[in-house]
Amino acid sequence: MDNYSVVGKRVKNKDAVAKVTGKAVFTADIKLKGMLFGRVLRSKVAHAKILNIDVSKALELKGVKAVVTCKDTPLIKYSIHPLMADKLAFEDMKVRHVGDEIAAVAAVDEETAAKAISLIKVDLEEVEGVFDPVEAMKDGAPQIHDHVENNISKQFTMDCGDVEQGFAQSDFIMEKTFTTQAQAHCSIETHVCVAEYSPDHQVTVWVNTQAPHPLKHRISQVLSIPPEKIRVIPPFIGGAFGGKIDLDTTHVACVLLSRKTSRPVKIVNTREDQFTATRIRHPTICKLKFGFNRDGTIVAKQAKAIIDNGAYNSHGPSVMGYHNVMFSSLYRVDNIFYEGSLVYTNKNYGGACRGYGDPQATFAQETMMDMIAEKLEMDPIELRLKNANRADEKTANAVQITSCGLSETLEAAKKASNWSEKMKTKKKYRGLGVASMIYTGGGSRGSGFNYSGATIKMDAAGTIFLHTGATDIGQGSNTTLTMIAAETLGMEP
Amino acid sequence: MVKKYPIRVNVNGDDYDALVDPRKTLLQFLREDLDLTGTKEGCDEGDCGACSVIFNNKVVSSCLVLAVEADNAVIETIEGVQKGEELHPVQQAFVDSGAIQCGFCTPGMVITTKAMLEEMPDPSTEEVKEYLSGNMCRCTGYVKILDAVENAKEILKNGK
Repeated sequence: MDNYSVVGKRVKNKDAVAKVTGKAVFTADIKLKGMLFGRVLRSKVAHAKILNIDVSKALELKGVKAVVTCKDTPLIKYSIHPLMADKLAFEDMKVRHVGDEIAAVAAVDEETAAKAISLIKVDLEEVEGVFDPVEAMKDGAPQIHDHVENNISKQFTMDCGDVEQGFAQSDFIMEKTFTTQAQAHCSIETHVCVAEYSPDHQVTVWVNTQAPHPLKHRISQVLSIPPEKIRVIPPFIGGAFGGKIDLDTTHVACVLLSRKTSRPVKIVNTREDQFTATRIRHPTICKLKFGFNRDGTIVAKQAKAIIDNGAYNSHGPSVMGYHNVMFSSLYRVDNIFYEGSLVYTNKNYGGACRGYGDPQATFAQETMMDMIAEKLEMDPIELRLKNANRADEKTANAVQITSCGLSETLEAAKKASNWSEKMKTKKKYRGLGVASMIYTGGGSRGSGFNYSGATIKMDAAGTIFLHTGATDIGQGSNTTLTMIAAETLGMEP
Repeated sequence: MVKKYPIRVNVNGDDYDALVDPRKTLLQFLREDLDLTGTKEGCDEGDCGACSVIFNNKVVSSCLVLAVEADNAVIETIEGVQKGEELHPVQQAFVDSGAIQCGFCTPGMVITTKAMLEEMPDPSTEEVKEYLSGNMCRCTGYVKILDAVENAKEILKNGK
């Protein structure tokens, strides 16, 4: 770090002054001339057939300018996995969870929009729902999507080495089941969107999104609008944590309502909307079986996981993929078996959420490691060191470990925490613990092009313009990218 | 139409005469009628503190106060904290301490810190934590926020 003049030094956050003065403009602060206010009609029941939607009474209400339903859309389903797309912006045949979107209105103010929502008459025929993924997989369980039997959206198996032989050769076998719950991201700023159609049929969407470029393409797909007609602008973003990475019906609603009214339309989610109708962390049930020797070597490990998808796929398939890779790649184990089932239930559905499946897998595996240490009467750090990944190795599941400081980190943490002394004098009800984790990042994987790229332009005055797809959601990327550019160009940040 | 009521309220040193819907919150009045959007709506039920303003020298959650209750009140919002070109010491301390991540809680944090230091110039760490307990930072930057409060306290004590 000594060789750098900017990187590694303390630099003040570029956005700090705007934020401490209240001048930073967040999406909800945007007010455009002639702006209308939108609301989304969301299902109050978990599972029902939609028989009829009558919007006539809502349209008659003074101040209501437009109502949209599935009939205003080309009925194109979406998910981040195009081949597993299963969600309509507005459902046409069925609602599959409390909060599922049915219609949206635009009116002169929020109160009128809310009133109009209550005047939309939806004839529903409630059907039995299923809320437990284990129940949902059983024969005879209510089927949530017509094309998906036993509600199993995806099943995935990975078999490396010979796990049965590994168990047979182990001194001990331990089997435990770990469950994790749903979690809301709870960013203090709710989801907000403003869309404005220009007279030449271009639409500008101001939205607190973590991913403006993918969002443009998703709006384009779902509404069959050419992407060059859509401009997505993320203003300052009040926290996201993965919850603002996906297309949301509020985005589609704003675009459609603005097109229909030729006026800007704004939708601000309430806190209740956030909890019922924006993405959550996937709950999981993870059955682990580990085979290990007296000296602490993990010989074989197996995970049988059920990922509770909720009503739609969203990021579910890749969250399950991460759950596997993060479970399987941590520690040097020759024999690994993973079986994952992604299961639909009639609940709000999961999406990207801090760690993307990793925390669920790591919680299970690391608790298991502590249990193994206890059984072997071994120090939990020693057990982890015994099995720690090393640089320049390939794991059994073919993940190339490039750099790796796991052992060094564990040793340093042991020393800095005065671990050995504390373990000896530890009292009942006082916690002392250690956990390892592995993670990979970077937005360009699997997308076919490099989201992580940046371009730099310089004008005649020597001013540098840095263009990046990264959105600053509080992590400070605007500042750190400026620092990297300044370092490279030999300038002040 | 709902009957509206006249109020006179002083916000950041200026008097405003307004006719307000009796159901309108002070938060809505500030953001929608006065365009003072630095005050944020987070939970809209008094839990998060993003909408904190100083109301007759006391910090309140403006989402829990009706605009009609602000009749004859003196209110300070984040927009009133900076005087002239220089940041207020509390603002400067938040900038210098890196006590800002997404920034959505920041106006409420700054307002609450300012009110606290005006009420008690030398709070203990425990008193600071208690005073700021109604302001949430979901990015979990509390340590640096406490650093910022400490810095602001020192600057103000030394009479800058």
